[in-house]
Amino acid sequence: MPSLFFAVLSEAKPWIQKTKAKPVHHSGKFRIYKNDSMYIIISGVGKIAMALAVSEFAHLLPKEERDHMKVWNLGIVGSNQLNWKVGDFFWIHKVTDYATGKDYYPERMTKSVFGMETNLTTFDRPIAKIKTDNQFQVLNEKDLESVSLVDMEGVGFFEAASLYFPLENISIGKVISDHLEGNFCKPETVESILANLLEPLFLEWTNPLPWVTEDPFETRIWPEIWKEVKELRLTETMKHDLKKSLRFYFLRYPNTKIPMPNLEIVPKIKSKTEVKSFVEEWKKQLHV
Amino acid sequence: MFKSFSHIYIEETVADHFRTKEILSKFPNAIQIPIRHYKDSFNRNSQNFRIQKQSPKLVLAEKKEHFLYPGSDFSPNFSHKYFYYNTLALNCIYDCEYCYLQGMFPSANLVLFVNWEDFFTETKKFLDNHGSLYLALSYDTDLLALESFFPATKSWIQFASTEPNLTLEIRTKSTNFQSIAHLTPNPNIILAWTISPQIVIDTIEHGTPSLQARIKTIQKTIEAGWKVRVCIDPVLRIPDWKIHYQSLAELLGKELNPKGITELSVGGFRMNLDFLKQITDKRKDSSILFHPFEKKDKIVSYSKEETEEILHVIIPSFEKHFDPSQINLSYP
Repeated sequence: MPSLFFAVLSEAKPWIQKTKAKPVHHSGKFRIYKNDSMYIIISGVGKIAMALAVSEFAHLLPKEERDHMKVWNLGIVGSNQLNWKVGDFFWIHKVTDYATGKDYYPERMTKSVFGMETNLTTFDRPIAKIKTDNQFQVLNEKDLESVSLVDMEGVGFFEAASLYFPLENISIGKVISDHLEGNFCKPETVESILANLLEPLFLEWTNPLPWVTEDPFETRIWPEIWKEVKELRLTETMKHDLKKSLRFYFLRYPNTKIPMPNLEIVPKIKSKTEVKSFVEEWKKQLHV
Repeated sequence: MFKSFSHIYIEETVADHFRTKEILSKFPNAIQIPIRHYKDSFNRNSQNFRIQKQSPKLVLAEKKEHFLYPGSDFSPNFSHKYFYYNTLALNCIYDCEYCYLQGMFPSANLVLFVNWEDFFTETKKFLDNHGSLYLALSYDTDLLALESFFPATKSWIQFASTEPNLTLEIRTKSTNFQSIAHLTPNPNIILAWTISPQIVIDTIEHGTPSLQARIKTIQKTIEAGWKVRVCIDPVLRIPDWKIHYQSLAELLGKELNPKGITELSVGGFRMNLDFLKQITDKRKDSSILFHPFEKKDKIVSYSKEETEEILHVIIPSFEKHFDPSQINLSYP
């Protein structure tokens, strides 16, 4: 089940409409939308808000679900590159926190129809090249040299997401909305820019992660066996060792039925010594 | 051969290094990402070695310290007083299920250190201070397999020709001998090939050259006058392992000139316990890693009985074709 983080509602709106996701009623601060197969989260503006939203969302899910979850941040950015157009989309392979100077590296693992990549710098305030009435932070020529795209959330998203989700599952994609002219984008403009990218991005977002595959031993074989021997009350170490031995046999002889002991005697086994001997005998059959 | 790399991370300090530029010229389509220090990318938490191995990235960096490390207890020192290894590269382009690198490094990305001259300087200093050095060159990688874009093997062979007290071991599974075939053989350099039965190559040593290709390369190397070590290491207790390893001994005896082999090095599977835990946490599809190993002093290996059985089968099989004095145990 993928999850998608936006800073503001106007960025998320085309996606919420497309997925027909409904607000989740929960005790948290952030708006979470959900349907049967995906989540959309809106954090509000700024890296701290985004990091908190990621954290709150992650705590609603068990680790197993998070480990298999694709987690993206999409949103609008300003660009210092005049040759890039409004509406151009980039995957991000490096995020810099302007305030701390710290770099982070989202690693691109899968191919995309969007081939352009660049780095992103996250600022604590809106950025402009020139001073306007909006009191944006104005960057001088030297600072602008190292800047490609600018936003206010990317670093908060990545730093928080990398605490809760496997790095390989995390992606940041940004679309240019302005060239740092010092004006706020209107919500309808933002909505329209994001809507233009929706179809191709939606396909990539909903494609399962290629490395998340079923482990039949973990999902099917072990639970079935464990059901049969649960009442033996094995210690954690014994359980771990037995599971390892069963997996060894399963992998080594994939086309052979796993040898099972006489399970009828399980209810009669009472003492620790009997349990130990029962497991040891079984393991011997598995280690052929 | 290596796959192309989609992304190349480049440390800022080596961005203008001539060797960086040479390597980058081999991958014109790769996206280049400047980084401050390779560890900022390589040592991150929450990386999954298995997933990264599906699309490994290249990292070009500068080694700033630790140009020589004392040899590992898992590796034979071949009776040399000063047994050291260096790390010109971290990680390997092959994907062998038994490889300890999967448990040792947090990332599957390939780090290449481009400042070879600093390695040469430190090695020379060591030789001046200690008089001799046995240096394993291809320890946390397979250098010869990288030779087409990272020609370190050639440079080290040339360096060794100026240092008579330096003995080099270059261990590989690659068949890329032609890239160094033009160099003059040096008796202080041992080219060592790891050899396994074809079934192991097919099912466990993913992406490596076939057994026949390796044997052919070894024979060429012998004919060219190089010192050659053949490493049957690790011996793996796969189903029908006795038959497979006996057949391997027959094949090597038939296809190689035994007199050309300086040494046959034999060793069973062994690994640092913590590395194995790391690996089995991520790689749950490899039966050889779930073997009921014996644990001793934080090392896992086959049990004493299993090891004795391996030696009982392997040694006589090879003694049919090779002189017993040629056969060494790398790790009993």
